[in-house]
Amino acid sequence: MAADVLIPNAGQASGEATIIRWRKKPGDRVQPGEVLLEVETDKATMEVEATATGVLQDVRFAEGAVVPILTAVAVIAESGERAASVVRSEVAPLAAPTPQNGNAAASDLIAIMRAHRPGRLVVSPLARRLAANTGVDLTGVTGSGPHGRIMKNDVQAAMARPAKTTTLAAETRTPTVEPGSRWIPFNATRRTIAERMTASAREAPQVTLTTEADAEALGNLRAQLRADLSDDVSFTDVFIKIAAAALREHPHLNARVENDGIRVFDALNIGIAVDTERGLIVPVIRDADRKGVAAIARERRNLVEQARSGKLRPDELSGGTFTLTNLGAYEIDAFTPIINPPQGAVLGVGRIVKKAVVRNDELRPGATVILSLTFDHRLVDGGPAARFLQRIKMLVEKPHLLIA
Amino acid sequence: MTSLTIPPDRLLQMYRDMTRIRKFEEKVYYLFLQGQIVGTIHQYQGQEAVAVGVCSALRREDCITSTHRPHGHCIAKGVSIHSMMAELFARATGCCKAKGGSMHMGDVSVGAMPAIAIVAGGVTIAAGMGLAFKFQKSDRVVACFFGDGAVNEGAFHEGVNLAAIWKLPVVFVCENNLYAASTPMQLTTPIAIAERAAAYGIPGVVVDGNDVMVVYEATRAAVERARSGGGPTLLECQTYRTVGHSRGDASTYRPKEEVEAWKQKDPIERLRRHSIANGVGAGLAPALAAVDREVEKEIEAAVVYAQESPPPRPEDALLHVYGEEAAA
Amino acid sequence: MKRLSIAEALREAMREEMLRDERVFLIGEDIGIPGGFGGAFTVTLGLSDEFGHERVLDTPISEKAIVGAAVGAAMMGMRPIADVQYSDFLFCAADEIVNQAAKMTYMSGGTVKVPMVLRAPVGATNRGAQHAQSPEGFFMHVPGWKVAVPATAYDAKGLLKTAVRDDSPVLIFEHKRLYGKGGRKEAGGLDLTSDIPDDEYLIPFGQAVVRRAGTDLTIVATLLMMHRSLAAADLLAQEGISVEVIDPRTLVPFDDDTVLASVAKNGRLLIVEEDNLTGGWGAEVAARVADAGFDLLDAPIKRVASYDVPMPFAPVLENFVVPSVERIVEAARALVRGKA
Repeated sequence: MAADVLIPNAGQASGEATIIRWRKKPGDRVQPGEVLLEVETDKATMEVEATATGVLQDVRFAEGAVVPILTAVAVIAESGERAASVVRSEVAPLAAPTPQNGNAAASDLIAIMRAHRPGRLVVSPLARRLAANTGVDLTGVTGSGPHGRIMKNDVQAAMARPAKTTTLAAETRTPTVEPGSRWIPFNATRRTIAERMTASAREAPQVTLTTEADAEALGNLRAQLRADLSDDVSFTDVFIKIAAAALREHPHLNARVENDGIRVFDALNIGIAVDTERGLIVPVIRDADRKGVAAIARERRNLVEQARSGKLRPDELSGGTFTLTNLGAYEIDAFTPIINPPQGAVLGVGRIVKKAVVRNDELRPGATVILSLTFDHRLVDGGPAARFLQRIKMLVEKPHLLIA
Repeated sequence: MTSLTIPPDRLLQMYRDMTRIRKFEEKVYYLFLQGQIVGTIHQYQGQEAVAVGVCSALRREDCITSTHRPHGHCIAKGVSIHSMMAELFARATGCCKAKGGSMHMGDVSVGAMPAIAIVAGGVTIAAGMGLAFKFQKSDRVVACFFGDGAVNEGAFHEGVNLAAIWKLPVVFVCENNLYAASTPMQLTTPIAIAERAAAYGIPGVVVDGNDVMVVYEATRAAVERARSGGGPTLLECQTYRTVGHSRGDASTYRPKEEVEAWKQKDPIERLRRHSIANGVGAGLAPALAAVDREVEKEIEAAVVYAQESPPPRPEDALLHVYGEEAAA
Repeated sequence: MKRLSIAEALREAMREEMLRDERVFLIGEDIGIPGGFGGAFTVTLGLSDEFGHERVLDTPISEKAIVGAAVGAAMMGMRPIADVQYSDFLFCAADEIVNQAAKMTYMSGGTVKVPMVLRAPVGATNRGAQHAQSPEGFFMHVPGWKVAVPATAYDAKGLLKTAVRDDSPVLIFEHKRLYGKGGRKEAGGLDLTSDIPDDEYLIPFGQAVVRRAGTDLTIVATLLMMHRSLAAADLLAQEGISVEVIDPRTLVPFDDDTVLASVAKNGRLLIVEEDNLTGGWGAEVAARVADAGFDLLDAPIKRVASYDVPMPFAPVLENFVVPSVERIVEAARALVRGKA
C-alpha cells in the first residue's frame, strides 16, 4: 500500500521542522520502522520512520529545507504501483466539478505566513500607503477584508476615530449589582483611554527618567514673549518648541516600534494632553518644529477649546509622533506618564516651583521644574534617552540655544 | 441506373434510410425557422444517396468520420434519431450531451465518430484510425467523408498520402457537390478530384453520387480492397445539395436552372422509380408508402422526445475536459 | 541505480511502456530509420531495433498527419507517442492539436478519449527563429491538454510514463540543451544526468518539487531556466540572499499549493521562463499568485523571460534575449533589496 512520508506533528510550537539528514535515498527499499530522515524542531531532533513497505521515491525536499509539519516529503510505493499522492491528480466524482486551481485554503497560507513572518500585518498596498501618509497606526486598525485584511476603507475609518488597539472583554458591559456602590458604564472616550493605556502598558516596556531643570530663564523668556507678542504664550507652548527642537537632534525618539523594526518619522507632530470633562484627549500640533511659538500658542488654544467642546476633527487627533503632558497646574512635580501608543516616548512637565537653588556655590532663591521622560525601551536604551532628556533640560535652562 | 442485383430488402432499407435523412432534415429546417433549434445547421437534402450508399456497404463495427454536414452520415450509420434531435434541441439526452451540437454529432457505439467541423480535419484522423485497426489486427475499415472543398486542404494531402504509403484500411469518400460554401470548383481545383488519387498511387473512382446503388457497389469494392490490405481508395461521388450551404444561405451563387436540373435527379425519387419500374418485389409501391408514414412518425416521436428531455445543468460545462472523465 | 541523461531516461521510459503495453507505439520523423539518428535528438535511438518498424513508425514530413493520425489511433484505443522535431513545428499541426485532440472528449460529451502523448523539443540553440521557440504558454492555454516540462532525467522518465498512462492528451516539452550525455551535444549544453532507480516509478502530474530551500525569495522556473536559477541562487547565497527554487514539473495541472505555501513563507516571487514575456506561462502563474496570494506579498511579482522578439541567430543576440544567470541574479537582488 503506498504511503506518503509525513513530517509528524509532535507539538512543535513553530509548526515546522528542518530536514537535517536523509538516511535513505530515492530507490531504497524500506520497511515500517526504518528511519528515513532526521528532522529538527524547536523542541528536539527527531527521526521519521517509514510506515509502509516499498520503494522510497519522489523525495521532494532536500536537506536543509524547512517544511511545515504534516508536509508529505516523499512517498513509499511498490514498484509499478501508483503512489498515494498520485491519486491527487485524479478527477473528483463528476457530481462536483471545481475550477482547476489549487486547493490550499487561504487561511492555511496566512498561517504559514504568520509562522515565518510574525507580526506582519495583512494590509493592502494602497492602505499601507494611505496609513503612512496620514500617520494612522495600522496595528490599531481592524481590517474588514478577507482574513482581516486592512483596506483603504478601514484606514479612512480609523482616521475618523481614535484607534482601538485592543478590545476589552465584552462581559464588562453587563453590570452586577453590588450594594454600596454604583456602576457607571464607560463612555467612548473612557473606553478608548482604557484600551490604549492597557495596550501601552502591555506592549511597551516603559522607563521613566526625571531631571530637575532651572526654570529662571524659562520664566524670563515667557514674560518677554507675553509682553511683546499679542498671543498669550504659555509655558506649554514653549515646552512644545523645546521638545520639537530636541527631537530634531534625537530623531530616534520621534519614532515607534513597528513589526520587527523601528519606524522613524520625518514630521514632528506633537500631541498635547488635554483634560476634558469626558476624559483625556490628545490633539496634535503638526510640524511643531516649523512653527513659531506664537503660532503654536494660537493653535494650542484653538485645539484645547475644540477638545473641550468635543469638536475636534479626525486629522487633529491623528498623526502624533510624540506627546507632551503638563501637570504643573495641578502642583504635580514628577510623575511617570504613560506612553500614548504607538508612540515611542512622552514628556511630562511638572510645576514651576520657587525654591532655593545653588548657583555658583551659593544658595539663592530660584525656580525649578521637573521633567519626566517616559520612553519605550524597545526603541532606545537608557543612555540615548537620558541624553535626549539632558538636551531638553539644557534648552529649558538656556532657551537662547533654540535660535543657535 | 445500374442493373446489378441488390436484394430487395436491402433496397428497401436504403430507401428507408434516405427517407429518414430527408424527413429529418426537413423537420429540422422547420424547427430551426421556428427558433426551437439554435446555432446553425448544414443540411444534407439531395446528397442522401452518398451517405446511405457508403454506410450500407459497411459493417456496424466499421467506422466513419464526418464533417460539419453530418446529419446524413450519422443517420445512415445508425445513430439514434432521438439522440440527434435531442442534441439539436440542446438537451442533456443528446448524443453529445449538448456539448457538441449539429456539427459534432456522432455515436461511437455504432462507429460514427463525433463529426469534425474543420474542413479536411477528419482525413488524418481516419488514417490514424485505420492505423489502429492494423495494430489491432482487426479487419475493420473506416470511411472518411469530406467535400470537394476539402481536397485543397493540407490535411487532405497529408492524410491521404500517409494512408497510401502505409496501406491503411480507409475509404476516402469525397462528396463533390460542386460548391465549397459559395465557391464553385472550377475556381479552386485544377484537376478532377478522382484524378488526384494517381498522385498517391491509389485508385480514384468517380460515380454518380445520386445513384445509391452505384455508390453502394463502388464502396463495397473499396471496402474489400481496404479490408484485404490493399490500402485506401479515393471515391468521388458527384452529387448536389438542393439546399443552401447552411441555414440562411439563399444560394444565389448557383444558377436556378442548375438547382432545378439536379432536383430532377433526386436520389430518393430515382430509387423509388427504379424499384417500381423493375418490379423489384411485388407490391413495392405500398411498401414504400408505408415506409414514408413510419418515418414521419419516427421523426415526430423524436421531436417530442427532444422537447421533453431536460437541458444540461449549467455547471456541466466544466465536465469532460480530460480523458479521465470519458467513459472507459 | 544507474546514471542516465534526459535523452536516455526518455528512451528508457518509452521502452518500458512499450514492453508493458502493446498499445503503445511511436510515430514521428526519422525516429526508427535503420542507421539513422533516433529522432532529432537521438531519443529514440535503438528502439526500432528492439520493437521493429511496425511499432516505431517513420512518417513523411507531415506534422498534420503525425498528430492527426495519433489522434485517430488514440480514439480507437491505441496509446501513441508522437513527436515533432522542433516545438516550432507544432504550429504546422495547430488544428490537430487545438481543434481535434483537445476538444474531442469535450465535444463528444465524454464518449471518446484521446490518450496520446506529443513530445517536442524547445529552447534557443543558435539555429534561428524557426527552430528556437519555447511555446509552452500557447498550449497551457488550451483546455484539454496536459503539459509536462521535465528538467531532469529522473523527472523525464517518471513524467513520460505517467503521460503514456494518462487518458488525456499530454504534451511533453523537453529542452534541447538539457538532453545531456547521450543526446546530440549542444554547445553550452549542461550535463544533466540523474540517478535513476532500477525499480519502476511514476511522477504524478501537478506536483512541483522544491529544488532548493530558501527564505528571502521564491523562484519558479522550468527547464533550462530552472538550472540557471539554481546557479543564480548559488551566487546570491554569497551575498547573503537565500533563494528558494521551485520546479513545477508540469504546467497543466499546475501545483499552485506548493508555490503559494512558498510565497506565504518568503513573501516574494520571481518567475523565470524562456518563452516570450507577453502571455508566457509565467503570466498565468503570476496572475494566480496575485489572486490567491495577495496578502502574502511584500513585493510585486516579477518575471524574467525572453524579450518579446523572435529568436535571433547570433550568439551575442540570443544570449541577450534569453534570460542569463546574471539577469536572474539582478532581478532577484532588486526584489529582495526592495528596489523592485
